[in-house]
Amino acid sequence: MFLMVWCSFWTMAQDDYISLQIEPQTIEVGQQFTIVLRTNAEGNLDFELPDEFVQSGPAHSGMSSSINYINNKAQVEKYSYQKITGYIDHPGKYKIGPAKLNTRSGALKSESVTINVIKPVNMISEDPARNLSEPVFGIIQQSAKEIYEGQPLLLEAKVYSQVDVLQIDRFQNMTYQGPHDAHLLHTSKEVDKTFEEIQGRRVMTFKAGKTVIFPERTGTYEISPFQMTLYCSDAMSLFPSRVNIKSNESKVVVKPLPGQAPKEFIGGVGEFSVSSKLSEKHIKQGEVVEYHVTIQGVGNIHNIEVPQLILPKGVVLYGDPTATDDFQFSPRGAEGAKHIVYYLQVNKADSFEIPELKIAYFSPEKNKYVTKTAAPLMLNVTPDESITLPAELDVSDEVAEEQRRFKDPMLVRHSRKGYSGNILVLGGALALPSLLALFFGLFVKYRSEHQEELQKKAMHKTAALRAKESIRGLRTHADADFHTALAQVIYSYLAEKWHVSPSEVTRDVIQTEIQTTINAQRLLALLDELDFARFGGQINHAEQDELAERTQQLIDELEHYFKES
Amino acid sequence: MMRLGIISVIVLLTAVNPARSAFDDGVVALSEKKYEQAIEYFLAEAASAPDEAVYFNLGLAYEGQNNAVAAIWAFEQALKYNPISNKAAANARLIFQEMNPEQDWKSPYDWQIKLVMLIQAELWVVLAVLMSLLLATSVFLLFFPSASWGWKKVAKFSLPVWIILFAFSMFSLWKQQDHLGTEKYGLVTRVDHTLFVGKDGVPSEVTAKLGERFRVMECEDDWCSIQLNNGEVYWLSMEDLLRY
Repeated sequence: MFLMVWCSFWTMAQDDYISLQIEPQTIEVGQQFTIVLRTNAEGNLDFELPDEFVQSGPAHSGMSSSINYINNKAQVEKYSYQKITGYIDHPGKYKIGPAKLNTRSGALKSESVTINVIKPVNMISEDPARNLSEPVFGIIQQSAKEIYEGQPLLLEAKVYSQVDVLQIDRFQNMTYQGPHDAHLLHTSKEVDKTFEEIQGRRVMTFKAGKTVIFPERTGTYEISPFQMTLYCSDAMSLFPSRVNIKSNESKVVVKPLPGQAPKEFIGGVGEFSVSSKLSEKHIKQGEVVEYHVTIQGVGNIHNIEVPQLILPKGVVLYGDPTATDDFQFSPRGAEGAKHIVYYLQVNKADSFEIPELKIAYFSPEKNKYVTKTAAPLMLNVTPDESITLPAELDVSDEVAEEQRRFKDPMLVRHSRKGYSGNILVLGGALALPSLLALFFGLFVKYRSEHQEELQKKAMHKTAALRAKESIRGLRTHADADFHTALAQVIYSYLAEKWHVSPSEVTRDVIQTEIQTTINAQRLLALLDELDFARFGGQINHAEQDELAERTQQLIDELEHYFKES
Repeated sequence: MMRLGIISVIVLLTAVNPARSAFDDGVVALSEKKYEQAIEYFLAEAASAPDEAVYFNLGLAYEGQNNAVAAIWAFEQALKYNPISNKAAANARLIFQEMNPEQDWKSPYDWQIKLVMLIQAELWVVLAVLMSLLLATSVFLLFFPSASWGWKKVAKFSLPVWIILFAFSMFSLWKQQDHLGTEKYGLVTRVDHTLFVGKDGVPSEVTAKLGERFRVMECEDDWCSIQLNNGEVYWLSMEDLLRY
């Protein structure tokens, strides 16, 4: 029982806290914003505001209570609050907080809040000087007369009064007469009065109903007037006078975006940036990793599409991506970030490069499409053999492969130049060795096949020379066989000429073969003379010389005869 | 990170070799997404030393500028230098199919060109010289009487092989020279562009789609004749055709 009471006490009990709330968080220079500190504890507050902060009214503080439902049980919570209203005159980002509360049980600390103070959006309006005949009049102010589809349009009601306005009642804001998405920015019932000099007159002005509109279709659309009832001080009466005013009408042209949008266009109109990160850089095969993409900027961020991923082979999308909005509506449009988480399943053990992610948007300021890129990321996947991947994942792999685009530049060069010379000349030059080989081969073959014939021809040609050499030898070395040797020279000469053996050369053959009768007779006579001298046995050197001379002369004549015949 | 790595490599390269080429400058500009600069560098490099890498990177730069037709032209130019490049083919296919989802992209180069371009011209020359010498040796052995029967048999059977390889080397050299030296294809740079009957500017009823590829027959007087798939020949102004 005690345990149950104790548990219920702790589950239902509210912890001490201190919170810091600021509304709105994106404001224009000079625009009021409200800071609310709320706590359920008592203690000394330590809270500092930026030096640029100008308090524009008294700080309110008090006690209040609210009913909170915890575990379906209502619990009354009492708290104290402090409310400060002010503005900042310089554009920039200002960190406010944290607020610290020193209590008896310890120090409490709130979150800090960063506010973005932006330059006021330039507004266009009709000339108020034309309405100065009216004591009070209203003019619609708008950020542009022409905008692109998706571009935010800022509208504001501005009232000019030449009398002192005491109270505003029944304010009916202007209305955009076309399909649109509207967000009221100025929800405070209080207005800031300022004074302007118009044509020498000091005119009190105040603004209300600041609204950011996102037109959804192209065309020309009217903006219907705003209306309100004002209670003004009346010098002629004890009671304030009541004035109903109705402002002018206005128009806005919504243009279509230029054609040829990049393929990475996500429907954004404004100024955006993109960044990405992986929840983990090292995972196991088959595991799912979160790929976080943050698109940040100002414009129509609430309407942008989720960018398409191009994944490397082996990495597939696991389910649909989830998107979380973190933006506020400001005079510049929707301002903040969209966080998108893609769930990637990796089916292969490898190092993967998740390619750079490109988004494209239309920039009305630059009047063109702009592409922004999130850097590529590396993912290392270690193998896990226990995982068997379903077959359909392979199909996804193929799709991923199809979608893959090679983005990294090529750094290695492989020069491929065609042959710069004349192909015919080269071909001819390269065919030459084969032709030479063919001719040389044929030559060698011919020589080997006709070796004997060639030898005979050679002997035929050189027979006279050899006979001459033999005769010269016989003359220098004369001996008893001189006549026999000289006759042998003649027979050998004739045998070589007729390609027969010397024994086949007979007197009859000589008679038959040598057609010139004189030569044949002289030759036979010489041979007879040599035979006679051989068997005579006398050696006479003069005679020998004479015989040798005659033999030589006869061989020369025969050579001439053979050449001619 | 990858990009930083690429830039670091280039910086290291330039530290070793102080004379940085237009190619390196182009890669740096591309990494920094200065596409216009990158295009200038790569075009300058393509004029002096064209190759696959120059045109591939040029394609990436054009793609960065969302100039789809020029990007396809550059990727197909890269394919001209390396017809088996998967990277260039994949990028050309993706961009083409984004422009024409109903059509399938096909490489302009057939298997013959892919085979011929597989080997550089210098190697084809070396192969041709080698085949020439082997052919000469085989021829000589066939007729040389002192060669053994075995050598003669080897020469007899290898001779047709050397002849075929020698002829193929010479054919490849010629084909490569012809492939790289002539502009045979062109991409149309205008949407639904009218084709002309002649170079006198008489329009036909036939139109060409943006990025459509044609075979270029001849070019003269700022006009090019192109052949459609059905064999019909029309004329287009050179300005409206990105040739390669």
